Amino acid sequence: MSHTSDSSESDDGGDDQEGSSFSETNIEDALTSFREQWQRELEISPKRDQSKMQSAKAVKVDVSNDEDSIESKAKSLFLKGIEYEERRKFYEAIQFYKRAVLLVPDIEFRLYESTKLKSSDDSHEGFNNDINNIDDNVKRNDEDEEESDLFVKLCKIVNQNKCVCFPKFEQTTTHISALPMEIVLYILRWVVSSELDFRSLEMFSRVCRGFYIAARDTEIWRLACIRVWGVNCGTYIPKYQSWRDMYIQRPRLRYNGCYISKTSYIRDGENSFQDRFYRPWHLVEYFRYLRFFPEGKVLMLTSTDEAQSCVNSLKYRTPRNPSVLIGHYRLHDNCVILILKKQEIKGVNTYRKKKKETMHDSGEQTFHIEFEIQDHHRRLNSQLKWLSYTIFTKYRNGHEAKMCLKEPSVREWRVSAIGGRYPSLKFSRVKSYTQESEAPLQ
Amino acid sequence: MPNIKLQSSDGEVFEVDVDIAKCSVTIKTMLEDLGMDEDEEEVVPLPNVNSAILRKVIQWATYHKDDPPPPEDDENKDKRTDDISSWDADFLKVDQGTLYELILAANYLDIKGLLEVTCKTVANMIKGKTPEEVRKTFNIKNDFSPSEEEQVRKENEWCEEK
Repeated sequence: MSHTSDSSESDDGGDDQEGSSFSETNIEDALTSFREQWQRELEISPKRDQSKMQSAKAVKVDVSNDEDSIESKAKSLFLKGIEYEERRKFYEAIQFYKRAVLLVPDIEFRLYESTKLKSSDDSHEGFNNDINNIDDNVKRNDEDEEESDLFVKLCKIVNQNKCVCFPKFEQTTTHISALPMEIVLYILRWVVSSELDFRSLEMFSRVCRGFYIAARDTEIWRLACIRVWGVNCGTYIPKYQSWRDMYIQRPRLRYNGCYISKTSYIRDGENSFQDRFYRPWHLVEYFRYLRFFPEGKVLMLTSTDEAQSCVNSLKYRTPRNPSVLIGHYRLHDNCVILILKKQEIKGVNTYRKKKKETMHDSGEQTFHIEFEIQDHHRRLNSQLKWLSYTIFTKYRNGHEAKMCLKEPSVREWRVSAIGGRYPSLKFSRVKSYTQESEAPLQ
Repeated sequence: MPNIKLQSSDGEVFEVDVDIAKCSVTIKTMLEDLGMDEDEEEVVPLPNVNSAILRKVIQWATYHKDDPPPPEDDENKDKRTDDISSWDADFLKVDQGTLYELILAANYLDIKGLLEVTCKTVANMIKGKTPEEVRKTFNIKNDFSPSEEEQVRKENEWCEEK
């Protein structure tokens, strides 16, 4: 075949040097058959880059007829498949598709390319022309790169696109890109949900340009700020650049997990009757869990149980575990004040309980706690440092007692130096908390 | 109960109880504005909804016809029962294409409840996924340039860990 020599001249030099000691004709034969095969593969290969394309284009003109006929046969088979599919005869359609793909694996892509060319004005240049068009697009986008603001730049591009995203592979059923921007934004409110799952939103923004624009919607971030700091949170100006900036920078609590601390201390045990030299002691270890909800509810649990079951019992606002304390919190800049109570025991026990309480009045306890919200290893708002901890007890006879377990202000340094009883709580994310959306962000 | 005829984009005519059809605000206003109530022989054309989707929409509306109307203030929305959502979950066991067409139909016909439950379904498909997982789930092309992708990653660094 004539085309072999002109398309791969550059290779000839190297090959000839290597093969000079062998019989020339043998090598020539082997080379010719190799080149033929290579070119065939080149023609069939679905992933062509531009350099290959150009050399292939030169070849394509005088490529052997059977190659062309294979492709045209595959095309007609594929088109028949489409025809059947349109008539909803899926089984027949699949048979035709299969046969077409068997002949030319990337026939769908080729067909798509050729239809695109027909619609464009100058169609005689073939594949190369198409690639140039794509290049032009890329260049135009790159020129915009000097524009400092990514949002403004991508906004322009996405507006021109007229749809939010593109399918990666062609599909016959309706694609998500059929949804208009307003619906995508509504879906995002469900993604963020009343639990403020902004991690999922930020992940979503990294999918493609259109999703980025959708995820930066100011209304979503404004609603989030209102949910965290209340209707009176004013506006982000002048301290922050945007609602999003305020949501990220301003100290707040994190909702998609728990703040956890581990307390361990040593307690002396009792000496045994006989052995007076042996002094037993106990190492006591327990965990404290705090779960905050955006609207101001907070749950606290101290337990020695394994972490998984504790974390699970704090998943919902109304916990089943009776030892979980329920309360409310309020933010003051980077401080948070919590007021918690034990759950009221309902149901069958009430009668019995009343009887007991006549003998021993343990009173009603209210727990007041103050934390400072801190960043830990560049993780924002991920640590709670104890400022104060007070328990108020109100007895049935009207008597009230106050017990400071940890005092604020002056003595604080000394306590924390001795202590270890109240170590800072560290945040860890709990995936199951944000697995499902219950209500949209409003 | 008077019936009403709805015609899908591909020409199929569905006869539906007026009360069920009225869960679509679009149809409700159409009937009220045009006074079509009296003329029972009139067929309402719905050029944006095909018969397969319209059939599903009617199925949904029929099941939910006795639902209490949505509360004016959204504060007390805790009363949704699990029973309804499990029926909806079964109803929405459809392929993605059908799901989007249901969303578009619910949007066009202005059926709040159906729009809510379909969009929630899509949202739960997005939640907790990495960008690559979202692309895979929805067959989406990554059209960021490398520098854009890097810039977005930096902007999102605040919630990156684990």
